[in-house]
Order: sequence, then C-alpha cells, then structure tokens
Amino acid sequence: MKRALFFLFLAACSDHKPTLSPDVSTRDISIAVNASDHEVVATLTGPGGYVVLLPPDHLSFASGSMEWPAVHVANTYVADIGNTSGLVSLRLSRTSDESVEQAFVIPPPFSVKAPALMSRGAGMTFTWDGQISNAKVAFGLRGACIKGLDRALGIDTGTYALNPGELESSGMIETTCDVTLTITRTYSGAEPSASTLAGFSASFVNKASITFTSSP
Amino acid sequence: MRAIFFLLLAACDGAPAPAPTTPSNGLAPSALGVSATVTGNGASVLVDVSITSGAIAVKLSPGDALVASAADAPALGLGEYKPGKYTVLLPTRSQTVTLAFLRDGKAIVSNDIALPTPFAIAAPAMPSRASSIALAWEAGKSSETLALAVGAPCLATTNTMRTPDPVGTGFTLQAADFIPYSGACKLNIELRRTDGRMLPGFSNSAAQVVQFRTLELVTQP
Repeated sequence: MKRALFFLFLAACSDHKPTLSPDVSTRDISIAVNASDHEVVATLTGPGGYVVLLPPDHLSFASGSMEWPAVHVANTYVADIGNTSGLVSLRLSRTSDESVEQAFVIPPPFSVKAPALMSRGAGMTFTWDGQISNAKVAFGLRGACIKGLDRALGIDTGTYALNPGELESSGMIETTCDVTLTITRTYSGAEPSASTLAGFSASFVNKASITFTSSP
Repeated sequence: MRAIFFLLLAACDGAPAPAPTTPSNGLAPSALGVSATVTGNGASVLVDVSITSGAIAVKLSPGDALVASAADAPALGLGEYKPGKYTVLLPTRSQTVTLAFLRDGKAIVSNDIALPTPFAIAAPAMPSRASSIALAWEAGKSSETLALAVGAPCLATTNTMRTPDPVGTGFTLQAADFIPYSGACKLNIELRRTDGRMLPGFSNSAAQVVQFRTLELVTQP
C-alpha cells in the first residue's frame, strides 16, 4: 500500500513514470554525478528511465570520516558537502540487491592571478592554480572597452599569455575599463573501480575569475 | 510536332539566364566602378578586378583592356572569368604593381598599386609544443591589418585564427594552445597583411592589397 501511494505520488509529480528501485537491479543502474558550489547532484537511470530509491534503499556521499545523505529532489539526489574536494565516494546502499561504492575526485576550488593594471598594447600573462591533468580549460575575457575573447585551451598549464594587441579594443576610441578574466575548468572525475553499476560518470565545472584594469 | 517538342524543352529548361552586362566602349573611365584585390606572395601577384557601371557588370569591348605590369614584369592583359570580372597572375617580386586601363592601345587610366609591407615568417626549427613557439616577421604599418591562421591536428582548435599587432614583429603560440598529442605535428601557418588603396581615374574605386606568406613548421611533443 505504502509502495503504491509512493508510486502514485511520484507519477502525479512527474511527466514520465520513474522506476522504483526494487524493480531494477543495481547492475542495470547508471549514475551520473556533477557538482556546483557546495552541492553534489546524482542522477540515477535504469532501462525504464529515472530510478527513484524506495526506502530503505538510499544514496550518500562520503569523504574520510564524513558522510552526507543525498536527498531526492525532482529526478535527482542532492547532497550539500560544503567545501569538500578530493577523493569522494558515492554509496548506493540497498537491501534487496547489491550495494555499491564508486569513488570520484572533486577538483578543488582555484584562484586566478593577474596584475592590477595591464596595457592591451603590451603582452599580458595570467596564472591560476589547482591544475588537474585531463581537465579542459576555457579562457574568457569580458569588458566594456574590449572585444570579448574566448579561447579553449588544449592543456591546463596554469598559465596563458596574450600577445601585444591580441586583446582588441571595442569602439572607435580606445579607452580604459575593468576587464574580467574567467577560467572555467571542466573535469571528468570517475576513478577506476570494480563497481557493478551499469555505468558511472562524474563531471565537474569549476570557475574562477579576476578583474583587472585594462588600458589601450 | 518536333518544333513544338523543342519549344517545350526550352520553356522548361531550368538553366539561369546569363547576368546582364554592358559594353565598356560607350563609357568613360570615370563612369566605371573598379574594385580590385591585389595579392602578393613574394614571387607573384594575383590581380583580380571587378568592373561595373552602376549595378551592371561591364564587359570590356574590343579595343578596351586592363593590363597589369611591374618593374620586373612586362604588361599582361587581364582575362575575363565571369561577367565583369577579370584576373591575371603576374610573375613579379616587385612590391608595386601598375594597373592600367587601355583604350585603342593607349593607357588612359593608370594606377601604381603598392602592396603592404613585405615580410618573411621565421620560426625555430623543430620546436617543442611543451614550450611557447615564437613566430617572427618584419613590422608593418598601423594602417595594415594582420591575420594569422594556423592549422594542425595538435591544436586545441584545429584551424586557429589570431589577429597579431599590425606594428608588431611576431606572435607567440602558447603551450596551452596545443592538446596532448604524441609525435611530430606539422603546423600549416599562413599570415596575411592587408591594406587599402584608392584607384583614381575611376568612379569610387578602390583596391584591397594583400601580402601573404605561408610556412610549414614541424613541431615535437
């Protein structure tokens, strides 16, 4: 009865009928994890679409001695893990089927450095920390007196230099203004494991910005 | 019956009608709109000219001709390749090309067209992509624009475009511009320096002048 009511509630609130966990094997579940700010979000899918965990099945995230339960929100499971970064484990705990644990790496926050004042007519060098191998990095500059510049970097070296004149002025008259550099780091953090999940992916997007004064 | 058949075929034919043209012999040069692109690579210069009268393409009449010449190259006539469009490849190392409009064998309009500042692209031999790669060339003028194109499978963007400082003497590719790539990787580099010139004697006429150079640079990891 409890199960029927639970299912009815979910069906009423969703455009598509989700699958309840007792009706799907762990080996048929795929989990996708992503993070933004303090939240880690996991999406569970099975052959029939989204999977909803019927208690006592539950999902949590753990790092060291800390464990955070994930709460069902829409078709995802969300946990606030604060400023945790580094090795984190996703734990899918089940009573009617096998439980699994899958590790992934959350990249740490990072910072960008640039001189306070730079001339567009001279070269500019920017640096940032927290490099991770295999991360994709995008470099973007925005300001009222410049033409926006976006660049996808091939590797994350923690530094990039613009050649003299490469950052172009906008408008007929060259002026000075505040320019913001944003570095966006995209990283896939799944660690190899013997997990019996059908699939697992963990992807993260971290951003760091700095604003400097740009003169002609 | 056969005539009707051919008539029907002609009526159903989807081939486009040829673009209208007007002959040049009734027009003074001051009534001709001339737009030219003059592109040099250090060994030859391609002269490409479009001639109009208002919005209509002009066909050079017998007795009228466009010719290009240089200090080291005798005059060559431009040939038509489309209605109103004429071109010639002039073998010359000169940085100035003369474009003349001849009528009955006499040059009645002549313009000396100076190409942008010439240059050669220099680069280190077999550079490593793990470090910056500095490309160098002769400085240009502030009125000129530079466009650098680099194509290679080891670049983060396979066909990369950059706009170097027109009065600068080079551009440095960053290590972060390259993706992890094993082995040698050839960069196909092309640099174009562009400027504009007026063509007095014609109506509202101008030329875009271009110097372009290419370089193939083999890089190491």
